[in-house]
Amino acid sequence: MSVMYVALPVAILLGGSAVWACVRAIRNGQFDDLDSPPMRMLIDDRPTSNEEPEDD
Amino acid sequence: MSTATIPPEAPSRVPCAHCGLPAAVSDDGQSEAFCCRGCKGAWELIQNWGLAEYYQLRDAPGEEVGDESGRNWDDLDDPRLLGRSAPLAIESDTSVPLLRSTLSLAGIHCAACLWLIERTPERVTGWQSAHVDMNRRRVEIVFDPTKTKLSEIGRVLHRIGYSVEPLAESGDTKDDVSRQLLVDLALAGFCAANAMWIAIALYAGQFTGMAASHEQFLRVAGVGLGVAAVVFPGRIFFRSAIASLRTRTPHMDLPVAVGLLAGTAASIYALFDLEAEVYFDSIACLVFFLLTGRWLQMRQQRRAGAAVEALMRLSPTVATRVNADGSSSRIAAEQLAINDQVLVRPGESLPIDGIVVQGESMIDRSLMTGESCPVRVAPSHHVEAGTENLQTDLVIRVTALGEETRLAELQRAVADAAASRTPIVQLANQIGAWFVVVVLLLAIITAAVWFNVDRSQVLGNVVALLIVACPCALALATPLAIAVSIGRLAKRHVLVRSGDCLERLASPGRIFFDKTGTLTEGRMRVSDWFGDNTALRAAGQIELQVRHPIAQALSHFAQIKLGHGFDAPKQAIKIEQTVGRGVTGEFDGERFQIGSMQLLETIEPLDSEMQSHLDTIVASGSSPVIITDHERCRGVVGVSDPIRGEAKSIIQWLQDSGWSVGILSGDHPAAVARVARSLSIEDSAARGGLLPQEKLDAIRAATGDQPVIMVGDGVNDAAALAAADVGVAIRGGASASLAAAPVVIDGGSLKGVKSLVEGARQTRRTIGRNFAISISYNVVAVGLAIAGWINPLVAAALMPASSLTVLGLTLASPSGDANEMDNQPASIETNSALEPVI
Repeated sequence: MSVMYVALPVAILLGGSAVWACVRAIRNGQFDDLDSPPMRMLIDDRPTSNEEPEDD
Repeated sequence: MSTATIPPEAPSRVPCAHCGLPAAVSDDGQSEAFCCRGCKGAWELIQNWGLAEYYQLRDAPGEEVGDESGRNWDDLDDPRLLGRSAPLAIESDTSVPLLRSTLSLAGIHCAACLWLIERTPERVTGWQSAHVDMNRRRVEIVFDPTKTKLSEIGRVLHRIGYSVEPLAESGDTKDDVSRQLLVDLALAGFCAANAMWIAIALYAGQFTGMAASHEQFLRVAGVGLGVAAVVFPGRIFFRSAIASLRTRTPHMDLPVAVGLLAGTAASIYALFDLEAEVYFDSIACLVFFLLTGRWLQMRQQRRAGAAVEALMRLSPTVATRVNADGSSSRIAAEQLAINDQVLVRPGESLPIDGIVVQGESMIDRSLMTGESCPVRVAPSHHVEAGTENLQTDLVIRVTALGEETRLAELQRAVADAAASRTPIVQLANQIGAWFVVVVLLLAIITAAVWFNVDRSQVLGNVVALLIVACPCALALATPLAIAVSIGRLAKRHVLVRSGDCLERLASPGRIFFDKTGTLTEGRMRVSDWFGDNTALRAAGQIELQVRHPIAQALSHFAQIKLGHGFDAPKQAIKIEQTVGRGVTGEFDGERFQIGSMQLLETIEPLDSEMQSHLDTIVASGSSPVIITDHERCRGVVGVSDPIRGEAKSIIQWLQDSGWSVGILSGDHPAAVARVARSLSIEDSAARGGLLPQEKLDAIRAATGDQPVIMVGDGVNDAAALAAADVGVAIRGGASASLAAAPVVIDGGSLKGVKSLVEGARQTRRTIGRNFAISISYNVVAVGLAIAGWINPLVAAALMPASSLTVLGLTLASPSGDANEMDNQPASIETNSALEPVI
């Protein structure tokens, strides 16, 4: 069971680095807009400009 | 003479293909119908771009595309006038630096809008990309300054029904607060999740046996996490508990802080005494749950706030100064000085108070004073900032600027009114105060009892009581119920920026409406028409070139009534306006004159039929308009600001629910009384001719035990909106009123008032039920703790279980969506141009 003395700090450390990454992402503003990305995902990326070459 | 009276021959109507407002059926009856040229242009543009998919993707009709003339887009090209939206150079692959600008965006509602706007740059040369932020209603535009200008992009967006404004100053502090709360939430989540599995290991160890050294190690780790949760993310509870002690106002955070403190102290103490229990997992979970509730409420409020900000058209910050040499230059309004001369074009709002030195025109003061009819101004007349010039260029000598203007004075009154309003004490906080007292008393009793029974158990049982009594579910109940309600109301176009006011509306009280723009539509419409179609077509064509509410009503009516028969190859020419009398113009080789009753003196007497229609119009309270060909009268038109179609049923509903309904208006008392009568509001409750200060006084006088709602749209309502328990602003009004009111109805329909009152009632019910549940949990747990039966397993199970029950029940509460369809903003019936008049 003494493996716990290693496993627990390692687990906390791993979790801590994930929190650190999450905090960085929050501070960079990645969570400011939670509404647009799910909509943007539904938009097809087909290049509509190719179908109407006469347009600018 | 072919005559047409309405409503008998009113043409059938279909929704406009772009915005859904009523429009005349197209000639062939097959192709799309449009309510106005703006929408037709938008539709054609979108079709030409090959983006017609927009119409399939969207789930709500677009915005009505207004006419472009009133807007000076060129201001978007001057970085000095843009403030925070000034374009910044960004790195790019090409040698030319691209510019990036973030603008506030109005008119977006769904995924299709986002799709359309982000697709549009592909069609516009030099516009690199658009990135829409739905949450904050912003769009980030990247463009190539050598190929296009920001004003061009603004114009393109306007053509497809969206409008952009520079960002308001100082909006970023809200972002920081929200990010900090999210960071705290992440930390609390981390602590709670890890404390939880350590706790599970300990419980497992109790059943199967565990070495003491291992157990102590796990306890140290768990307490470390619990303390971290209290010290870092949990500090906001202590901060607000201290503030509530200092100001002696009850607050829910006080019992929460007591519970947290007791749990932390006991856990730390227990580290040195293997027999005692540790509570770190409960503490960490508590912090996490409470922060989650808060974050959800804040997120919903912020979303509503951003939507309102995007609607606000800031009072003009840009002015055209007439220089000494006669040239003119666009400058920021704050650079003006007293006695400067300012040119104000038709369609622009006045940036300053001043005296007219040149030009004669009509100005629209409705947002300032509530007057529904435009006022004539001539040299030497005094004019105020915030009013809109309608007809011809005016040159105005500045007499007051910035803080000195009447507009700024009104805005100060708004700030005062908001500051002096008694804050709403949330039900949760009222209970919170009692909670602390009761829990502390119980703790003393427990201590006293156990002191006599078994001294070794005193500390353990008291601490257990303090912890299980911590009102976790109680503190979660309110923000959660409010967050859910704000979200549901937003779907019905009611934007609630401050959740507190929902708690105030649960019981009926008094509700006051402004008249112009709130009970009425706020714009002139043709209500009666009698005459021949040739005259109508000519009058409509002539009035197309005149900027005046009555002219716009007449040409809009002609467009709808005649459909494609209205279109003409040539515009009307030789337009001459006489301020206060009317307009003359030539169309299709014939000269027409359109104006007030005074014209009757210059022509042949009316025949009896014409006369009787005219009498009806005058009797109904509409403004009569005469169309003549300089000899005979060719048509009589009644124009009025019609009452909103839904007003009567909403007021009926409010009265039936026990609300006392009143009108506070700045318009003439006679006009107010007429509206009140047709809406069955008592004459004594309908007051007209009020100054903004008098409206404010009326609201203050009404404030008492019952909630007071004010519904309005103008600058003159703003102070009253801020002073009322709940101010409700109608979209389309002045930005001062949008800023002052905690609730904004975006759909421009009074049905929002009903949704709000119903939503508030629902919220109150949900909160009440949540309280009942969480208090029962606490009572049971406290009873067990006093009896000394509580053990860590029970405590650990009870607390999250009560929070989860509250969470589940709130989310599952009925939303009352059954009548959601009624709340569509632009239904054909309510917007009919032929709404029966007063």
